[in-house]
Amino acid sequence: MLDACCLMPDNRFLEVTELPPRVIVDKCDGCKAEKEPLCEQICPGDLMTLSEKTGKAYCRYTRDCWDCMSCVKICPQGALETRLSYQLGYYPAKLIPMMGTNRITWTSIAMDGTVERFVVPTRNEE
Amino acid sequence: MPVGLYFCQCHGEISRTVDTARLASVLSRARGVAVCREHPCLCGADGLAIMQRDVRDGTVDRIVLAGCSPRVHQETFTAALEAAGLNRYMVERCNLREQCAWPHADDPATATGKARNLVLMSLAKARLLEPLVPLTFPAVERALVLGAGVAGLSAALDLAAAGVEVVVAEKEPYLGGHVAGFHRYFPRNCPPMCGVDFMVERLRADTKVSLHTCAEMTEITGSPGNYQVEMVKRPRYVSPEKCTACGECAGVCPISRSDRLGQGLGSTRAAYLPHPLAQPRAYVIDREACLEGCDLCSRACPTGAIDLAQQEERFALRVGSVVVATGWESYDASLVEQYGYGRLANVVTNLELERLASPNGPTGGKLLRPSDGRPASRVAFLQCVGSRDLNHLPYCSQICCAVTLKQVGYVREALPEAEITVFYMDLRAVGEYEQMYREAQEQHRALFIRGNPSEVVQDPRSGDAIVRAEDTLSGRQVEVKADLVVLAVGMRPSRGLERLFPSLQPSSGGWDFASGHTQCFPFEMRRSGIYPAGSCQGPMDVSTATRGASGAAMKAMATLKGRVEVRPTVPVVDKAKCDKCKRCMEECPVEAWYWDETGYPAPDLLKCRQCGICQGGCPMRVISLKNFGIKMVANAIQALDPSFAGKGEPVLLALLCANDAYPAADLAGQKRHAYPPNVVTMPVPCAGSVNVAWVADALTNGVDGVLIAGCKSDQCHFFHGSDLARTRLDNMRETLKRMMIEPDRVRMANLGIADDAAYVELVTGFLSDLRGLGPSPFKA
Amino acid sequence: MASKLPTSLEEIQTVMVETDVLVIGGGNSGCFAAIEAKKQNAKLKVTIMEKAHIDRSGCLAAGMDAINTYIKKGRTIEEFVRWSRSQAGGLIREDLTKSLAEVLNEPTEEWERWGLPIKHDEETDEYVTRGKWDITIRGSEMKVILAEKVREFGVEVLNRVVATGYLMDGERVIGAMGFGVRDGRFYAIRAKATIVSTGGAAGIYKPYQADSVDSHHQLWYCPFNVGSGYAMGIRAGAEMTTFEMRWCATRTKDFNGPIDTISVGYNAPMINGKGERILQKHYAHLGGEAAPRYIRANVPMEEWREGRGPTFVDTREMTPEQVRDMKIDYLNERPSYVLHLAARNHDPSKEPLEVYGNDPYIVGGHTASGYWVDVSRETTLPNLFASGDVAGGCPNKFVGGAAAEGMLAARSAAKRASETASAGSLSDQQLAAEMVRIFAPAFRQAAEGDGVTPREMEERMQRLMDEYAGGVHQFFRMNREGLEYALKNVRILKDQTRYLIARDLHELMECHEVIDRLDVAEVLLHHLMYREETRWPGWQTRTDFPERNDEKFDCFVNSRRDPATGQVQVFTRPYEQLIPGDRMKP
Repeated sequence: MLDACCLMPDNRFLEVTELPPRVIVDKCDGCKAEKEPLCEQICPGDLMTLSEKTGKAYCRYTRDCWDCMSCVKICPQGALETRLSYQLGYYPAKLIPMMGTNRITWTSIAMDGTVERFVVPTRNEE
Repeated sequence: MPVGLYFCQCHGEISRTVDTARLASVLSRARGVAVCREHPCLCGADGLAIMQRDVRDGTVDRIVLAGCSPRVHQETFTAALEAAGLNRYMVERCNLREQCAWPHADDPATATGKARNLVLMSLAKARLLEPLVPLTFPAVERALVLGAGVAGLSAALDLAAAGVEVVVAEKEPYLGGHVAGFHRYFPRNCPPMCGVDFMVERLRADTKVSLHTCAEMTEITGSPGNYQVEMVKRPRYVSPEKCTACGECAGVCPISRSDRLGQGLGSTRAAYLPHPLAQPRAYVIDREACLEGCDLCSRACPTGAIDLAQQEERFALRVGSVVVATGWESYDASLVEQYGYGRLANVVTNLELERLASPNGPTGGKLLRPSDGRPASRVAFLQCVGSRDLNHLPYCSQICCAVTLKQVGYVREALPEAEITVFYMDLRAVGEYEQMYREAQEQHRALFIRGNPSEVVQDPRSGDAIVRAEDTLSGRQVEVKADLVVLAVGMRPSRGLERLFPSLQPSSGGWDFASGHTQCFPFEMRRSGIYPAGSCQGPMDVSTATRGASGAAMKAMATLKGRVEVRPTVPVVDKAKCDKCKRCMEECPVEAWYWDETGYPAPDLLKCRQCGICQGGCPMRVISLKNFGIKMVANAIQALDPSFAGKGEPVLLALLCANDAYPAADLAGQKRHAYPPNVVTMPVPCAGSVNVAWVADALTNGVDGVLIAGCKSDQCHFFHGSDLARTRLDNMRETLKRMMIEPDRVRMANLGIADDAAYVELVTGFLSDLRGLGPSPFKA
Repeated sequence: MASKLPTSLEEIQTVMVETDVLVIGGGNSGCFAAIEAKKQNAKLKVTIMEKAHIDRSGCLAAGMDAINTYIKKGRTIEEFVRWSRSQAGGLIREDLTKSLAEVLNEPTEEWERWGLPIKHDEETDEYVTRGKWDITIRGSEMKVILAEKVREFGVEVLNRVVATGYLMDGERVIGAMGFGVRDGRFYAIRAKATIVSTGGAAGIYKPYQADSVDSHHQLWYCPFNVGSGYAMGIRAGAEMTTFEMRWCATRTKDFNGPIDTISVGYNAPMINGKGERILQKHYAHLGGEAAPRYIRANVPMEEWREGRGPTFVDTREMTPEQVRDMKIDYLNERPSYVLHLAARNHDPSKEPLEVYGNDPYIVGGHTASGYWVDVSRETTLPNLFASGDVAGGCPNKFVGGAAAEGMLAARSAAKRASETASAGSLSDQQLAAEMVRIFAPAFRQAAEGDGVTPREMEERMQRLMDEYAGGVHQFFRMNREGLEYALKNVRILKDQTRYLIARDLHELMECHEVIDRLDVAEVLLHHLMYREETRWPGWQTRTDFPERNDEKFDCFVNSRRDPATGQVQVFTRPYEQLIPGDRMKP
């Protein structure tokens, strides 16, 4: 029904590649998947899906995203980036997780470019 | 899990640079180390004996051998330790010589620091080692040969000689393939049915062999050693056991149809014998040509061999290997429009000429013009039709020149006064075929004109064909009139190959043959256990086809011995973590993955080549190769202290593929090329086995840069492992850029096995760049 | 990719599943319940029915940074009960709380064994404490770890299957029905014992940041928990309790994220626009900084109303290291909050963090709203057990408690399943009726091509509740007239659900989410009207009854909707005190 764009309540179409979560289309390979790409499988809000037309992932209703970042963490290509809606935060701040085997390395880049990094353990296996 | 840590001084080769004494002392207290020894020569009898004793005493159940490269003395150590009772997979080799002491002789202090870290990494890996035993699978001792041309028949003979049961399936109603339709074949210009007959008689005499004509494979499932094949036998409508080839059926048959073996040049009755020497010597009924309700043939048959109601038979077969000998077909000459094939009656292909020349052919061996049946007294041969042409087949079909030289002989023999012209670009008469070339010129008096004709036209009144070309040696335009124009058209693999085994190998640049990796994996396709033989591998002459068939048969023997043994370092899926995203299936170079009965992806261990590409690509990190798993490598990486090279000095982690890059690094050491000790290496089975989570771990731990080095793109031992590694790394670099980490800290390089100088330049340059970039943002 | 939406009954494929224990909702509580059922009896077949994917479904999608209910060395069960009681305005089921406290620590310790990193004190090796009952964890992947264990234990997991109604055999619950949001099939799962653990209900009220374009789901609570478990129970005639004790809390302004991390963990006091320490200055009589939760929750609203806003949590005394630790906590629970700070160049050690109230939720893990259950966690519908945010009577469960309650429910359910020979009989009528009810919006779209979209209805309901039933815009305040107006319109909306249309399977799920929310809203309004007092200002502020009325309402307000007539009956049940002492004090 809806392809690589989002039908807004006032019937405008918006390019979802710019709104949260953002799909970097050059990196997305549609997960080479039979049925569902990983982001579609994992999203707790049933929001991520694959466009039949482009073969790339997109978020069906960005206003319904909870920014849980499950999709960002699971994407094997690193093709997803969370953004906050403009209601909540200014451009171009970023928060990017880098998935290690038992930790996540987060990088926060503020509006003014200040960079902060956090290494957070996620599993305590030996 | 007590570890035995052994330092080899290598007669000073190592200990001159690396302070093995101090390391042995310090690391004897490392976690899990039960015993730590230093020895001048661990691979000697004395050194081996010391390790063996520790094993026998039960002091250690796993060993870290810090000494020479893991690529040397493999059997020396594993055999000795196995004899003492240590499972051969419980040994971790730590390279302190080729990649530490030898290249860093000028900086013993840092080299020792590097050595310490290499050992810590090896210890981390050793802690997770498991004893492994090779896996054995039962295999079926039966081979299937698809195609009974010269290659198929040859392979069948070799397999039968090796004691294997062989099923040969040929889709035509006769054996012998294309050569059955030839007049003669070189190098001895024999009648081909002589050779075919010889092979067939020997195969018939062997009770282990069953020959099926009109038979094809419809489906194949399973794995090497255990394939399930579905076969269909189309009805011949004549029982070969009863048929005496008396010809009564053809005598009463009212229908005429085009002779397929004769390339459509002649015709036969609907009840026909493929050719007089056909094997099996039995008639065939072309039911599609029959008149509705007609049964004249069956009533005329004196032995009751005809059954017009015969149905196709389907049967299943279990086989251990398949030899694919599906052969070739001519390139469609009508696509080379300027030569008029298909439009102009007197333009024929070289294959059609074989039939015209054959006494069993449509003209009884007389060379007659198809347009009006007059004898052809002027014959022009055009070479490279459709070959060596970017618009058609970009490659050379290898034998068309020799075929033309042979056929020149046909013409001279049939028509002593004929005018023979050969238009060529380059004449490729290799090896002994040079003799044929000389004969063609001197004895058969053919005229050779070096020029690719621009067109062939037909004179509408006389029916003569006119060939127009530029003679490039004289620079003059020529026009040659001919009664018969023979196009030496190029070869393609027969359509059956693509239909049976689609996407076996991606065709590159117009080459659709199943040639495989001709140096490292000849006769193999991306499916293990299925071996192409003969001209489906590439254009070739009969001698090459039969010799190659023996090669394929030999390869096929690997899974025909009743059992197949598989190395135990297989990939394992943690199903509790798997999300079934199927990336492993998509990226496996040999399509070894399937859905198991629990609905999870599983590797077919018989097809798996243990490259680890699945492990590298799995986004959930749930696949691990035994004794080289995600956790093991992560632990090793996390054991590396990124400050070992000193304050302000960058540290580079290099993951080198075991096939080309790691040996190149070893070679650099062997040649005593000096390069900075700031680079710590780890061998990986394939660049594609590297999971980006390891790179993330390394960076987060404070390593300043990470290098992944694999084989050159078109030389990757696992087809696309290097390319996948590059794509994954490119994706990671994009993410790093957004994270404000210099993407250049993470690099991919392609090295060949002898690229030691390139390796040295690579790491030296990388380290120098890292100095410029400054320390990792994660360095403490 | 989702399948095509069926447009007629004939197109619908049915999947029949037989199981021993069915767990509806594979969140924190449901997953622990499923694992515990297997531990009780490995031979039992245990099935989870989850509308998303258990790896990340429910509240723990982004993780959690703390376990707020862990009984540390030196503290007793009694202390825990008294504390919980005091935080809930003296109204809890002491028997439920006590039984919960007995097993409360087990899930946390098990999670650590499974791989969840928890900070240990280097000297004592005890968990590092953050508050009285709170410990710090690094839980960003804890749900994934839990889901892996679910699979390891051999639980059958049906992901992307939406539960819509219970399967009944007379009064007994014998399983559930629903549909696949990917495969469009009708599911009927028969079970010997059923556990409902679908979480609480968010999205009943309009969130204040939602505008025409965005931020519709900028909630503190999981916006995908819509109260389906409550709704299914309501429709089947189960008894509910204390819906009026809504969860209205102080949250970070706009982002609507957790703030306890800071106020509890780092002792940052709340200040108003004038810089005054609000609790000290204006609420000393109610305990000051130690005032009960619902007081603290209401504070920002009162300050704004009095013209003393905006309100903040004063983080300016925090050291840079504490700020870093705080961010790491957020990265484990709601990572995008760190992005929120970055996107405003906001350094908490220089500027305080603004706070405000959140849109009200119904969540039995924080308050006492939910199914009325007995100590074994069985609801008033035989063979149906409830655990987690969907189960009532036991507030202050949070993550650890919801997990522990899952274990308790599972023990009862496993025992029941082991003792039950046959699960009960299905009636084709029941299945057919539910099938029609489920796919009605799809059929309507196919037949009429016109109607009301679930989004339109949800927006209408949310603003209605916000304005008339004490939402954020009304500073949580309500009166009888407003509530009656709301009820009247909720009834109209419920009647209008027959005009809902769905154009794909996603939208079909949205239809049922709004249908379920409306059932919850109706019951909620009844509860709000019935309790004519203000027991928990903020959570339940009646402007027409601003004082507490212990004489009439020192008891539970419960309700039951008659499945035959649709009438909601509201009544009370007496309080039972097991542990002596002043119920308002810890």
